[in-house]
Amino acid sequence: MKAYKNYMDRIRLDEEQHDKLLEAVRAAEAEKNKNAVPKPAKTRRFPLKTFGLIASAAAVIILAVGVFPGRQIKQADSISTTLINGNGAMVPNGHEAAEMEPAMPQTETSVITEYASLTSAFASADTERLVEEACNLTGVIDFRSVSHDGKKGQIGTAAAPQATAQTSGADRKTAVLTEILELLKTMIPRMQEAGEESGVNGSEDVCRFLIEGKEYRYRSAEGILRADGTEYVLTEPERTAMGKLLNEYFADR
Amino acid sequence: MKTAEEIVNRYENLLYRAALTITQNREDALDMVQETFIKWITSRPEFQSDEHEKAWLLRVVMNLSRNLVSSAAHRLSCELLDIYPAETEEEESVMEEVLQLPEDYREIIYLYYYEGYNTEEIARILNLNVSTVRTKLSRGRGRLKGMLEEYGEARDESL
Repeated sequence: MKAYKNYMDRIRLDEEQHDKLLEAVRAAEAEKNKNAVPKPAKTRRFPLKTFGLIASAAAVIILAVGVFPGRQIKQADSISTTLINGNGAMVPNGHEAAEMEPAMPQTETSVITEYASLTSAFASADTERLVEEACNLTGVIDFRSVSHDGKKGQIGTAAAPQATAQTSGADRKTAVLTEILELLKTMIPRMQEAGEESGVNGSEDVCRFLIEGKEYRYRSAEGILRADGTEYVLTEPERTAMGKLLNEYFADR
Repeated sequence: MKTAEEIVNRYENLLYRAALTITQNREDALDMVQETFIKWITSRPEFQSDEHEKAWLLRVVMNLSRNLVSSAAHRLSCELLDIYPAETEEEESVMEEVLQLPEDYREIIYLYYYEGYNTEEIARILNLNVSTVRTKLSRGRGRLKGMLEEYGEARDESL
């Protein structure tokens, strides 16, 4: 095939053919450019991933800058208003009103002092301090753990003696929890039929308790106990105790 | 983006040879080359590589040339050896044999032996099955009798 290759190598356009071809091609290109309609500018399109990233970043910034500090101020503000109007006594606010027991007696001087420190925190615009002062005033160690729907309460070990609202919630939770733990300890059989007064149903993850006709639910993943339409967040020791008993209970059945 | 002039300077001889292999007519070959470049100008395709670009141009020129040959407008002629005379007897006999082959065999022989494409690449350029290309290459070589033996033995193993 060397002869074939040698022969083909010699096949080339001569100068005249080359010029003619180039001229024809240039003319075609000029014609095309003349008739070319300018394309509309393409809209810049971001990949979905980029959009998601930007949206997430914006959400985080909004939450960090706007919502959290705003929420803290709002709650603290609500507390201070309550104190002034309460005339020396803690007045329930929001959803916890139903659970609140009568306020503990408190001297006017102590309320004024605490209110003054809260006002000072407001003036300093130091959100950390504001939260701290508000927590001291209400008896809650850190009310930022309270969920937005206001139904979950940081109750129990976190509550200080003067926190009447939270203490009452804690009492209720402790009572329910005790009942449930007792129920589990007795190893009563699982509910088999509808209409039973007491029993345990569900699974270790989502468990339903029926105690004398009242229903309680517990979600072990979040450690949330729902009783009387209120959700309580269990503390770590409570969750451990609950988890241990549930584990034993369901393992046995 | 390459200009039309760059493309012409780079590929004109390659396309001309391919067109001439099929049409066997100088003017027709030149027309097909020009038509190919005009298609490139109007469509301005985007290529992944130079090799991709080369293969696209070869495919277009060969399709255009085949269409022309199969149309009534094509004047049957075998003027290639008149325009480009062979320099040796061997060249002349080889080219006479090659030009006697059907056009679809000729283009495969050209792409395989001259351009150095393998059968898979030829199949992509000509839009054929690989097995079809291999069969045609084998038959084309058979028709060229012993003239290709020297070169063909080495390539046979790769088929």
